[in-house]
Amino acid sequence: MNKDAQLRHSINQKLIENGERDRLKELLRTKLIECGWKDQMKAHCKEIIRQKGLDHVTIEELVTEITPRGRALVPDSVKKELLQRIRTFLGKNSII
Amino acid sequence: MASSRKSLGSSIHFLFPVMELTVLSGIFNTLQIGLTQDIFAELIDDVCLGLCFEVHRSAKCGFFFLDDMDAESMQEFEIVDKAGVDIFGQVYNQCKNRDCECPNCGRTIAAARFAPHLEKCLGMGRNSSRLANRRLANSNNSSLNKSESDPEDNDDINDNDWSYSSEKKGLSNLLFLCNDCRSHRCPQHTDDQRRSVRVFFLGPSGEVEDMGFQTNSSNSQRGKSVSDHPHIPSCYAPIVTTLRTKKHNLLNNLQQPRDSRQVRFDL
Repeated sequence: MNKDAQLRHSINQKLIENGERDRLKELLRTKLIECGWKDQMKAHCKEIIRQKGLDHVTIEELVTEITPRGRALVPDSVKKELLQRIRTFLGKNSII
Repeated sequence: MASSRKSLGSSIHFLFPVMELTVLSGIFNTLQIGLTQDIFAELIDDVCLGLCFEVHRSAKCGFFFLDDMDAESMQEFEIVDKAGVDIFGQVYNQCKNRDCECPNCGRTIAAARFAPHLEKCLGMGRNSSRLANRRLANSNNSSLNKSESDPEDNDDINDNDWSYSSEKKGLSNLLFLCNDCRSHRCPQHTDDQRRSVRVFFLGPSGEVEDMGFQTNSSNSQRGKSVSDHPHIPSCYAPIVTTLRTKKHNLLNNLQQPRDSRQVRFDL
């Protein structure tokens, strides 16, 4: 388990150092906006805020409500493309 | 049977490392897949978090709910998509038929022609010298072309009355056209200003009105020299074409005294 954690840590570090992580994140953001994911999520947020009342909404509540929904709503094409890119990165840097 | 078992056993022994490799690579694959999935999940979480911050801030600052309003006003301003009508539902050929009244001449002009008409009417646009000025320039040019050679021909060719008045107007017109608008009734200057300029250039005789030289009667004012005009000082020089060259020539001629040769005053 320790080795696993260490492996992940080193991978993350490599990603960040390379600048690849930021690039991946920007790519993901753009794709999600294009496919309408962001608007869907915003609509969901509106409902939540209306339910809970504007004054009582906290950021933690919002995060806990939004994240699982967000994960589920990501379209497959976007997911595939990003997984592909990550895999090529790992292969290039011969981590596995 | 025994041999088959043995061969089976041996084959299993042979196969086992191969199977091991595939199993191992399978494990590696799953590990790799697992890793990529985890990295992807982290990225998604980051994006979600960013979205939550944005939404929370805009909700607390009060600009989150700005774009969806009550049903009434949504219906009122709904986008119209019919033919022949713009997106507000209005027919858009109406304004072209409206007529405007010119404040200067009082005529009713179509809206599309109003701006050029106003230019010409007030004499203030770029290419808008009033028709009178243009005709004046034409008649002056045509007379100027023949001025040096045949003094008498000019009398014959041009109508006396017309050129007479144009000459008189020419004196005051060409001298005292406003630089900006080339009109001798420019609204930017008052009559007093015009009179004072006239006086400055012509001396006290400038007090007379535009057509004041008529007091000397005869129609044959044309062809006389400047010095013959009773009201104009002899240092005054003839002026040609544009206002700038007019000014320039005027200044030049004032500095250098003219010779005694008769100076034609055909403008």
